[in-house]
Amino acid sequence: MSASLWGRFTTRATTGLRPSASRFPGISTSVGTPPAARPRMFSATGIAGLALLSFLAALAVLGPILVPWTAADRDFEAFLQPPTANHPFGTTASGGDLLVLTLLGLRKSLLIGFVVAVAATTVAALVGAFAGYFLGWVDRTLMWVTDLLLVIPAFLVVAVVSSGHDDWIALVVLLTAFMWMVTAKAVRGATIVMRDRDYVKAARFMGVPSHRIVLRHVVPNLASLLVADATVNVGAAILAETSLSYFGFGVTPPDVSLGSLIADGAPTALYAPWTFWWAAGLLIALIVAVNLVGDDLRDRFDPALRACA
Amino acid sequence: MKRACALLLALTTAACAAQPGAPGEQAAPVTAADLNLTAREKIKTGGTLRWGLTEYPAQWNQNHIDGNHTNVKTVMDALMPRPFRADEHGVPALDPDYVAAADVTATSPKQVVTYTLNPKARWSNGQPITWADYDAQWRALRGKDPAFHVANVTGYQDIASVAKGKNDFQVVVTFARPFGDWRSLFAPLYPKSATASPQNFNAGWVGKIPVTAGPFRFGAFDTRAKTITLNRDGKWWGESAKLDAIVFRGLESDARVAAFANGELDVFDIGPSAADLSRAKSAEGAVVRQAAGPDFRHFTFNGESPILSDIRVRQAVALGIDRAVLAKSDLKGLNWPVTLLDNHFLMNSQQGYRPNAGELAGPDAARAGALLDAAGWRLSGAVRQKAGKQLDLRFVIPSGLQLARSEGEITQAMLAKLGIKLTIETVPSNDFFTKYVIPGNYDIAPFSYVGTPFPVSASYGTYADGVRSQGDDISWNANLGRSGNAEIDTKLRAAMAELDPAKALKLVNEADRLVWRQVNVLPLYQRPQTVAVDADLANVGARGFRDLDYADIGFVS
Repeated sequence: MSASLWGRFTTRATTGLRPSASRFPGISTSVGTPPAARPRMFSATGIAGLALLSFLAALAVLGPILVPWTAADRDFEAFLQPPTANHPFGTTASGGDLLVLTLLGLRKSLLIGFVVAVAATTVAALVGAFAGYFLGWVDRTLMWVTDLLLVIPAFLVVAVVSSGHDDWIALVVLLTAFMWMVTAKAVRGATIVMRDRDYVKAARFMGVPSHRIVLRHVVPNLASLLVADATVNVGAAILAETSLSYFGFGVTPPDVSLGSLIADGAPTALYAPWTFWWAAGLLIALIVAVNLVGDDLRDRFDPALRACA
Repeated sequence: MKRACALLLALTTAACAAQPGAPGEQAAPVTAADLNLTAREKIKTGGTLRWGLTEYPAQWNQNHIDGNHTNVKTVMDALMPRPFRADEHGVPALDPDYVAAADVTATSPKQVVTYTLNPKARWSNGQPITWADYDAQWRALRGKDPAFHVANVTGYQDIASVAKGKNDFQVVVTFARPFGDWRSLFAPLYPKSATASPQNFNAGWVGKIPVTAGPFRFGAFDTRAKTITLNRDGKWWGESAKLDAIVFRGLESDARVAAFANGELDVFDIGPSAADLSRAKSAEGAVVRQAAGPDFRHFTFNGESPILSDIRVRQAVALGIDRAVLAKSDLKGLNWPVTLLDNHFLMNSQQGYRPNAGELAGPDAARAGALLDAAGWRLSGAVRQKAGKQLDLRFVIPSGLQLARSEGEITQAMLAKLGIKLTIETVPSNDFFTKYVIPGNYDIAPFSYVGTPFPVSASYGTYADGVRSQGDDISWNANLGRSGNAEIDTKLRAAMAELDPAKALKLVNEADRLVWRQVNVLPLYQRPQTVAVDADLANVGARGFRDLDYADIGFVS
């Protein structure tokens, strides 16, 4: 399970594509009988993931405030120094404190990851639900756009377009633009099944406007799917952001992200390991935490997968 | 980048000036060369030396604009004649293998230099080296015919004529104007066949080395393995080479240190990488030889940028920068003492070096603040302002160069204390010179200049005042800092024309004091040359200004 997830992650992180939406085979049954998910406690791994994620988030938010150094400070007495009491993570070649830089990088990567995941899932929910509910030309238009975006080499496009912008918001918009399509297709499939359900029909016969039915009845009933997918997207978005930043296309100085820190530290990874391993380790921990939570959520909401597991 | 490098080398490896300095003048106490100098009798005959280059050159004509590279010089120094060889302090001495005597034989009405050639010296095709080779080289390099794509014309353009003396082995060079650095000329000397026509000059040495005249001769190219093999030349008239062969190999920087650690290379230049240095040091049977290199690190200030055109602001920025801290960060892990370079023309290890920074040696925050106040930049909040504009300077660096970025970050922190905002602008490394530095599209830019044994003529262009062409257009040519004045020009020209080396050095130092006040180039430190070699090797390593004698390189018996 986890191996296949990593595989899928890699594909998305580098190309923005997901091979297929076949991981939602039982989606109709799950959304067809609300509330499908029985109240169930998180599994042990899920709790571990959640704890790790909360810890990292707290570190990212509070850490930079507590550290006495700032990102712009340079310690002229300590260039490329291994960890000491003064600099627990060591220093960069220009005397920057790696602790505060790593925590700021973690903050930026987490922020971008969450914002992109939420935005991409929102877009996916709206596009998928409208296409699936209205069908006809709305469906054809929206799916044509979706398919078009799926075949565009996202990494290259984002790399080229984002290198003209120094703003991280631009990066968020670009990453979002290439991350919603597969979820949208899954949502569309689920909506097509749902539009023939009694409660949807009832609403329609009572004269409730169509857009209101989509927003009030269809999308809320897909919440479980969307929450699980958003969580998985957080990991994908973080990896996409760090890969772009690693190659110098994503977050640009003076901002730092885990990706740009890893890129800066890579040439000295063996000679001065502290320039590389803190950022790399935190990235690994972050992705593991997000995946554990995402897997667990999907297991809870998706009976078909649970049966297989 | 390649072209930019070539250009910079062209700017700096030009011709002539200071020679044996006045007695008693000591160069600064830094290691000038580290070569494991060993007497020839202690070196065994035979063996193959494998030497790592940073790239595999295509143009082997060193006087061609594309051949003016360190890598080409490293190879061709084993093959081509030169009248003078520099020692590690940059003092040239006659090379008797090629030239028996070379002196200024007249100074008025015109400077005349007479070379007496060694009649035994022959090209590998059997022809003797004569005045005709000198004549052809002058005609190609004097810059009259643009069809010759020459690296530089310095010195050659000042020659009025090259004539045959009492026989073929005497060359009489008459100068149109005095040229003190005349010893830099004809190094290296290429045969008449290479310089007689633009066709041969530009294309005759691409991918081939047709003629040589040194202790080694050309053996073979292997373009797939990127190697060039030189073999001992049996017809060499001097003391024969100790090595059987030298194999040069072009490799990427990561691959070089790996190849050395694997025992596939015997010599390679590590460059300013602490990581590679530590890896090379730990390789079996290896030693690292270090000496002061011929190049120096500096910041160039754009004297035509809106903010820095005010000389008071340039001086204030120079005073706000603690150069020792920058040097300390750059040199971290390179095992090299932090010695500041306080001279634009002469390196610390060079004959005649004098610290000329004076009151601009910095750092002096109080004076810098006063200068900025006087210039109208007043503190309001964190950043100084003048007429609603922020004191915000662009520090332009090439991408992928960690050294430049860390210099920028440190300078940023230093100048912030003065209320100067420094914005680091990373640009593609291929565009750094062509689109930013050369057109003057920057405020401050960090890079390196290469010093030569002939400091004035080599760097005259870097500090010469702009030439007013049509209207208000000023053409700056090689002066990338875009500031200068007539006083500096006069002093530099006097130094260049001075034939007495000691007097020339004095004039150079006087000019340097003026250049310091101008804050065009802010020198930081002379860079170390760090070379990893096989521990058994002698007479090779960090050469500083010295021209190596390839015949003496070998393995200690």
